[in-house]
Amino acid sequence: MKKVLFVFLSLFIVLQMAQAQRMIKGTVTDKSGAPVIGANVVAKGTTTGTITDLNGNYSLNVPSGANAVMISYIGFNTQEINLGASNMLDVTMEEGVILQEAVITALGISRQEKALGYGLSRVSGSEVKGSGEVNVIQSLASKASGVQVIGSSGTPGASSKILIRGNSTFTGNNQPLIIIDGIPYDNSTNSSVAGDYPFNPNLNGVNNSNRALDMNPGDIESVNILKGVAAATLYGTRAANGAIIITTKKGRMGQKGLDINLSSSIDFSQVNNLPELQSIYGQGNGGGRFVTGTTDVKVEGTKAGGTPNSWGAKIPDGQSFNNFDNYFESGSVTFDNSLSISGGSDKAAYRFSLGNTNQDGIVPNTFLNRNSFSANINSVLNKITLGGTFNYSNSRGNKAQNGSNLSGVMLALTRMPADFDILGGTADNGYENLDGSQHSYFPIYDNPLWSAYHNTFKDDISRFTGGVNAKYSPYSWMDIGIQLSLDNYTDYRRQIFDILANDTPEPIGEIWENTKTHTGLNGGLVLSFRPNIFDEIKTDINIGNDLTYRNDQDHFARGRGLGVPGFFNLSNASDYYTNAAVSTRKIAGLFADINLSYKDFLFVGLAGRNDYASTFGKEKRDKGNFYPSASVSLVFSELLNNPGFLNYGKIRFSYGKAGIEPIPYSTKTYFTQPFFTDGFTDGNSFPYLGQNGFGYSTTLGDPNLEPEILEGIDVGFDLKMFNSRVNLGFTYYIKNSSNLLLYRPIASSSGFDFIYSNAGEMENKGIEIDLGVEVLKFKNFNWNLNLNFSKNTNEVLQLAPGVNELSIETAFSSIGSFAIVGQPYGAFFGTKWDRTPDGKLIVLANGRPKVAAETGNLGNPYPDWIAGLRNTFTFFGFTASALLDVREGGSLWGGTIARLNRIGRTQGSADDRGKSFIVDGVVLQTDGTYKQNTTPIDAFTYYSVVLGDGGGSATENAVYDGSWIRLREVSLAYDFKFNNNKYINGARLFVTGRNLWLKTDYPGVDPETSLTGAGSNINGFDYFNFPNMKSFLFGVNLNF
Amino acid sequence: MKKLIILFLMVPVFLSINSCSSFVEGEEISPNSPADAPLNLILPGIELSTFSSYSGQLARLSSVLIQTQDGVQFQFEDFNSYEITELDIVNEWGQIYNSAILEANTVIAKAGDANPYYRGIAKVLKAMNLGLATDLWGDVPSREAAKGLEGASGFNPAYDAQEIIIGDIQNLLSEAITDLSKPATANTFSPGADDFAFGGDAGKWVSAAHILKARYSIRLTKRTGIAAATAALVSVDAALAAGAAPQNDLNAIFGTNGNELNQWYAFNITRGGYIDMGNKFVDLLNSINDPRLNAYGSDKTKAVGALFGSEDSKAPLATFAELKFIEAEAAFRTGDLARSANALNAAILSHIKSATGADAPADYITAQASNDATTVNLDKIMTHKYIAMFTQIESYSDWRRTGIPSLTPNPLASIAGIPRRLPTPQSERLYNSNAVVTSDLLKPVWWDQ
Repeated sequence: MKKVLFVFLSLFIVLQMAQAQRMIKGTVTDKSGAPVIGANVVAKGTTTGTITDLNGNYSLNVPSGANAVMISYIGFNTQEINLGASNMLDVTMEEGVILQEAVITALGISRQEKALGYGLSRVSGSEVKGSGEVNVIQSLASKASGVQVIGSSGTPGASSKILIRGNSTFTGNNQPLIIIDGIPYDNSTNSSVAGDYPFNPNLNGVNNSNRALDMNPGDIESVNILKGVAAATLYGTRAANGAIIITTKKGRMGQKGLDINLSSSIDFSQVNNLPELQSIYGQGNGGGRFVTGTTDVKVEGTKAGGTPNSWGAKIPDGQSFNNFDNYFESGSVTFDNSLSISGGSDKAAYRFSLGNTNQDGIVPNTFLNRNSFSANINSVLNKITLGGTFNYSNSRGNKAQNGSNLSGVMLALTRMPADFDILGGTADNGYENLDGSQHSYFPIYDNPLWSAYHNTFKDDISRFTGGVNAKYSPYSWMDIGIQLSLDNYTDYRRQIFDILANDTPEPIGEIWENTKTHTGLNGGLVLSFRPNIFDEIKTDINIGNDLTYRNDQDHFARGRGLGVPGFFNLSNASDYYTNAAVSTRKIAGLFADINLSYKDFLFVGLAGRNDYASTFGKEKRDKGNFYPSASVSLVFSELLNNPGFLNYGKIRFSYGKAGIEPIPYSTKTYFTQPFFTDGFTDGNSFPYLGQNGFGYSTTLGDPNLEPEILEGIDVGFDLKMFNSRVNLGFTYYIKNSSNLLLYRPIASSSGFDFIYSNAGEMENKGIEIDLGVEVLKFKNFNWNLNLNFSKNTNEVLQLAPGVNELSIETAFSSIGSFAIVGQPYGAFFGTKWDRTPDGKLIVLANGRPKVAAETGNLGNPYPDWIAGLRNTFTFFGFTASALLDVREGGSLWGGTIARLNRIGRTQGSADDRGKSFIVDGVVLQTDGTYKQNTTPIDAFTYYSVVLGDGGGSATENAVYDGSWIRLREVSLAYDFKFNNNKYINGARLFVTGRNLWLKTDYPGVDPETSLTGAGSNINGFDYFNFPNMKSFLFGVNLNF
Repeated sequence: MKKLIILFLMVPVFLSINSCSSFVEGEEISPNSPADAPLNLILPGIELSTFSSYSGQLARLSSVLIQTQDGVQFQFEDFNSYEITELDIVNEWGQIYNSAILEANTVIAKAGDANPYYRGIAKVLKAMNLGLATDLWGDVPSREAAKGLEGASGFNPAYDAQEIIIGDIQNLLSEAITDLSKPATANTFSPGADDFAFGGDAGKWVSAAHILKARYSIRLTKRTGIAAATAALVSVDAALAAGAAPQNDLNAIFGTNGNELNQWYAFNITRGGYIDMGNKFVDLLNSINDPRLNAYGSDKTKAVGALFGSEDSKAPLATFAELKFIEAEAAFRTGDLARSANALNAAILSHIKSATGADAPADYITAQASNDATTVNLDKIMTHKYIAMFTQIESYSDWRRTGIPSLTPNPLASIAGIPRRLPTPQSERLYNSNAVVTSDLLKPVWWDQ
């Protein structure tokens, strides 16, 4: 490798040459007269060019034959100026339609858009900020093709998941790498879980945050989304799922004076959708069950009696309660303030910003509070460019219990009988009694108000990210760049289950202290060469290395049996458990990236990276894995003599290969502290009666692990037509994932449940369409339309030998999320109704449909297609914009509704009470034939079995279509213009609405929901999830 | 200056080019888990796993099937109507193999001849776990089971016939008795506090092993009739000779911390209202004025009472009372009615004493525990065993084997009868190419045929 470098170096030095003919000089300025620094000045038809200096000055030796110069700069129209007699040429650049914007691609390498051979989406900082979302990931929803954002709920800090072109790995992280100003930015969604907790913590607990939440959206200048495999080759294993390259706002060199921006907004949110509940029948059991044991109504202040069912008597007039209204805060308010100061001298530019966000949730006592500070500075000293960024943020909040959880808010709240008053306790607060007991209707459910105030989950994350970079350009054709960065956070959490809380083994109180630390160090060096080898071929070569160190630590301590009431400290406990886990991974890569352009219309890129990762066995660690990519872009419009309405046309093709390394410590089989549970209790675990214990882990290690391989091709075209008023981009891609690492299930009778090994294969195929139309364009009125459309089809092609279904993560016994050969990844797998070969329901003699003996495929949570349509109108100073979000298909498991049907809480279960139903199906006769069912069943049986999740029901009945059309954003803004005002440059007043309109057939909360959140590969589960929000945001933005 | 800067910048790149592969070294061993563990840390895992398997979900489920408990809410309402799917018992099946049989094999191999006590205890525990699996699932992997460490060849263990497995269980128990009968001095390492059940007392393990041998002999009454009873009596005698007595019972031991709780108690706390005392069972106890009623739980709307359902209640696994009931049944079947009657009386009285802490009332003794050769019958023996074995899975085997007491299946259930086995777990159906899949819950296991 060393030798190769030297050969390259010497070659290019020798080849450096130029023919001087004529020296042209001048100054490039913008309309205000400020110098444009770093503008490209090129003699037309040649590869000879230069860039303007800090004063906007340039001088260029124009070769003979060239009679014009091209001047270009990001954000300005490229100008072509014919050379006259004078050798002095001053140019004023005009901002305007951005035809050829440079984009930041992998490793901060800037490329002209037309040179890109792969698909890339861009979202501007103003779109991010303008969405009003606190979480930058959520702000990307429906704004870019190929990108699916899945919010988990509307509670403060709830995670949002982002997928680019579907899922590409079974068990690992499916979300893209996030890079902010060259710094890899961790976006994990971590849950707090004790080492002896036997279940999947994503099914209950709180809605944890994805850590991109720490980012202040106001600092973002632009977001470039690298979608194709080829696009991300240079990042190696980390970017196999694509990369999101975020560039923050910077100061501008040569800027006059300070640019001060102050932005404030207030957001009012309320719940958008909730399940429709009945208020006619109260708590009780009717139903005619085999055993009726419990007393229908709980004895207040004791644990005795009580049924969760609402199959009781009719509630007398005026004695029912709307506990949703009594529970949720009438509106959640979010304040957001940010201040930024930027400026620049001739040789340096800087920007400082402060951000503050305060959000109160609709669930009482929940909030999110984020404060951030960032600074960046860039300077140019002769041939050296130095830059540094510094960012500190603190996010803290309190979250409430969610999901399948006896302390869960929605579980106890939606099941709450309508004749039970959530505030009916004898204590002043209503949710407690004077004797200190919880006011509740069922002994093992917490009163949700009590839970909100007594089972608190506080997190507090301090995060520092920073980086330094230096670039030295000894020659105009060569740069040496070095970058070092750090991403470090400490996530401190404290979960309290107060004495009497039910979601613990005993109601004796529990406190968890959990600290998670993430440290990511990244360093790399890039040598860039732009040698002039041939006149018509421009060459741009980058060679470098990239070293990554990631360390995650998790320290967990739990105390049970709290003594002093209301005192929440580990010292107040009588029974302790602690555990700690450390994970370190190191990745090293060597890469080369060669870009050739021919006459500025044909572009070829070749890249390769050899990746070394600490998580492989010895052989793979030594040799590394090589991942190549290639891309071609042809601007064919340059070849057409008379392109007519076509201003610009490009076709592109790319191929890329990337790999994902195994998770740490998977090459061996270890002993672990076993725990024993059956899914109903927390079971028994070690240390036990003062003794420790170990047993084999249930997962076998594999010393010969290979990387997961992603190979993708990406073909498409980009057209600009009718004076660039119509822009159309189209991409077709295939992404094949093979050698997928999975916890391959093996029969437990082997002594192990899984072996972590390479086995699976899956494919994503899809199309992406981006359409931008300036429908109307007048001096003071414009109408722009932007459409993005994405269709991704995933198919699991292969699992391990003999394995046709693979559970993605442990879920419920009635339903799980699976990879099934021939089906999309994430398919639901659960109990089904038995059917005849011609598809008729088989009904038992008792009139109930029969559950099939074996579980089967019930649908999958990923949509057939998604689209975002934005219309923007500008009228004098007004800008109005509406973003419509369409999701077609994609199933949801409505476990909430099934359970509410069963217990008689849904409106339907009340409307149909007393009726009888004859299930449309056939009954098996003794002679083996089938006869139409005629046996009626009562409403109780119908709602608990046919529509609910009662005994003898099939989970199939709870899978619903998750399609929607929503008005995701609508906004109106007015810009005040201040010409030459001494104090103020500009002001904007705006109002934004989110989710104001939602059309869906899903019978529960907003179908944009996910029980398991962004930290899980399961999608589409709704089991007593928190609802989503609709909101109005009012804001002002001032520029001084 | 320029040159210096270039040099400075170049240094790291060349350093790292040479050392990409060494940069990624040193992180292959997990800092979180050990690669091996000694005997005294593996044994507690096997014991706790066995405690959990014998007194957790399978005990609750089988109690619902034989109506000593009623499933009232949610999943247990399903079990009450015999809706037991292949997904419901995946954990329980896995635990038997992952956490007990695999580790028992490990201890047996690791202990070797130098540590016969560890080896003997591991063999008893392995026999108990194999027994649990075959009693509930019939033909199951045994001889090829738990060989996953050997690689792919161990991933699809064959299913052995139940007859073979029960023979192997008897052999394991006999070998264990031999190991545990050796002098303490024959051991390099001896179990102590790491043996929750007996604190390393090999003699008590020998007695428990004989009780288990008697259990698996009497298990075969439907198949081999008197021969089963004769064999059982041999083990009964051996157990008594080895010191079987109420104070030497093999029990699952629990504690008061949240992770140490008796699983009947833990279930009632977190899943209160899912199951409660079986109505018919309470009626049965009431009908004979059984003094154990309050200790068992007298309220039909509530969970198991204090005797078995307190924080740290012991859960019986192999007891003197069971032994005496086996003796009563075996003697009855072999025609030794006097011995049968005496054993039955002793079984009842001994159990009442240990359950209530007091002797049985005189009128109860008169009515229930004064059997003689003329009055003893199988119905009395098995009904009293059904009462005494409350909460134990063994009762479900006894009921299948003898049909006593007579139980009425839930008429609303989707199958016509009380299940006679559990379905093959989904994990076996999907991932073991050698699995013998049975989803018909009414198909009896071999010894029940």
